[in-house]
Amino acid sequence: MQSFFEPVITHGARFFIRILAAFICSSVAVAILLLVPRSLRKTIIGVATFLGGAYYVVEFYTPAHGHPSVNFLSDHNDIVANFSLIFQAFALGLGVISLVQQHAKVVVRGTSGWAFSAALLVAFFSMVIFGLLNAYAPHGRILHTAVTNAEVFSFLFVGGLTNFGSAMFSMVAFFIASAAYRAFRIKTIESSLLMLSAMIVMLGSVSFGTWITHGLPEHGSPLSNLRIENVSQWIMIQVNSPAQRGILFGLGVGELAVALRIWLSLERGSYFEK
Amino acid sequence: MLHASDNWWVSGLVLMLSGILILNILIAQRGRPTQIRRIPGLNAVDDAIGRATEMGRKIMMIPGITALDVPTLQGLAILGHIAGQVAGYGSKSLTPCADPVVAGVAHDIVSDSYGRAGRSELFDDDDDVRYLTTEQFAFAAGVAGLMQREKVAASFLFGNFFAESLIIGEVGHQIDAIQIAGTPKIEQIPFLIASCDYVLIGEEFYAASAYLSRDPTALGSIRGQDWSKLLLMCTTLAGVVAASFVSFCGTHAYHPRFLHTVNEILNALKT
Repeated sequence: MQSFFEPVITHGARFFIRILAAFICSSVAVAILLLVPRSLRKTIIGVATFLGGAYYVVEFYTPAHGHPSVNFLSDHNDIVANFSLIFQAFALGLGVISLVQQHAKVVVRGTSGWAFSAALLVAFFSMVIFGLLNAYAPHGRILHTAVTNAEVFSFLFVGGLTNFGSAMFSMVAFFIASAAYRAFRIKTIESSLLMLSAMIVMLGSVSFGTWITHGLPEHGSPLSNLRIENVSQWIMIQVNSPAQRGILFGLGVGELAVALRIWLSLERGSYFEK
Repeated sequence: MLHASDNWWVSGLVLMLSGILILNILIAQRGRPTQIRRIPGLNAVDDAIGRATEMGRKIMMIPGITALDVPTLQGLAILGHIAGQVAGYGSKSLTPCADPVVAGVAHDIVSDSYGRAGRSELFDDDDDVRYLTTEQFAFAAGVAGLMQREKVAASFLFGNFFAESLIIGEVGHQIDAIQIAGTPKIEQIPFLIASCDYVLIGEEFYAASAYLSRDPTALGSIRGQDWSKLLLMCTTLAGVVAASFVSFCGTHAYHPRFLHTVNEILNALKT
């Protein structure tokens, strides 16, 4: 089994036979899941979920030795993780097909916003084509010009995708300002406390804030506790951190409960028909 | 910590908490009634769907932006209940997904919900559940565009969100959508509170599906969560006492100063 998942030689007939065999096996598995009655499908999925979870539970609770600690199951972790990756790869293909179909329909029908869908299809196929050319023929030239495939890919990826992402991220700064304006409006005692503590923490982080209380002694006096940077630290460490840890305790237990319900198939009603 | 043997105390505690949860689920399944406190954010779900139906606009549901993990599955469970209510009202919904696997599961959940409500004709196989992209900010841009174009009247965000949560929340605010959100990402909670109408904080996120479904199994696990938290609180309190004790008298419990203080306290109580 281990050898089945080991890196394969990426050329020759054996390589393509393996890909074909893996594709046929996976397709048969998917076809079986689609053809069996729905009640049996639930049982199959429930058993597979239990076995997958049980592997990690057994692996975790089996005594281990060394640094980092390993036991007799640790070497197989990658194999089990690969199953998950393979299923995800199938779904990615389906997602891409659905995306292309959806936007192609909009362009063909000429419905409102068809230009956006056309832009998406052009961008999608450009990235696919030049991504493949970049991987297999990076130094190949386009239409006998001096421009290489790698340069076009870099232009699309670094010049386009990365910059578009950065542009969207930069909008967060403006949205923080508008959201903070609403959150800090003093209407209730709670919002007043929020405003006051936010002001102290913000002032404690800038030089103007520390200048306000620079007349107070730095050490050796109870008054040093009133310096704005110390009050800010106190709010962050003694108030903010314990509150966050309290929420995290609840989240941890909640996550454990949901994980148990999913592992033992106790919450099927939410994902399948009741 | 890679294995239980690295720290048997913590591993034992996890086993104990799991035992408490399973025990309470079994008790609830035998018919013991379980009360759950009111969660305003979840009570507002009905109002938000009703408002959207009256306005004749769509309802947006986003199950986070990560792949299938526990918070995403919880988000999908919550969205399953919301989709059932949306279908019951005969409204239209829109579910953009950032992961193709999640999109597949969400598609089944939403189409099942419309089917159960006898409104299969309202479910658009191509448009209602969409895989947009796995890129974080491209997804945010896609969702923002959809919200603006469709003028959604209600937006439900349940799952893992990161920096894009504020973009989505603020766009929803700009178009006057009622927004209800819940995420286990603690650093995103302030952004969601600032931009959404209702936010589920902490374990409320994991209690939401039980609250909406009133399923005995889920309610039993909520009861188990409360018992588990009580155990953790007692452990924390014991830790605080032990740490204070060590801080006060050093690591030697028989320290004369400690015994002297105990005697003083006892004498004070007697007098």
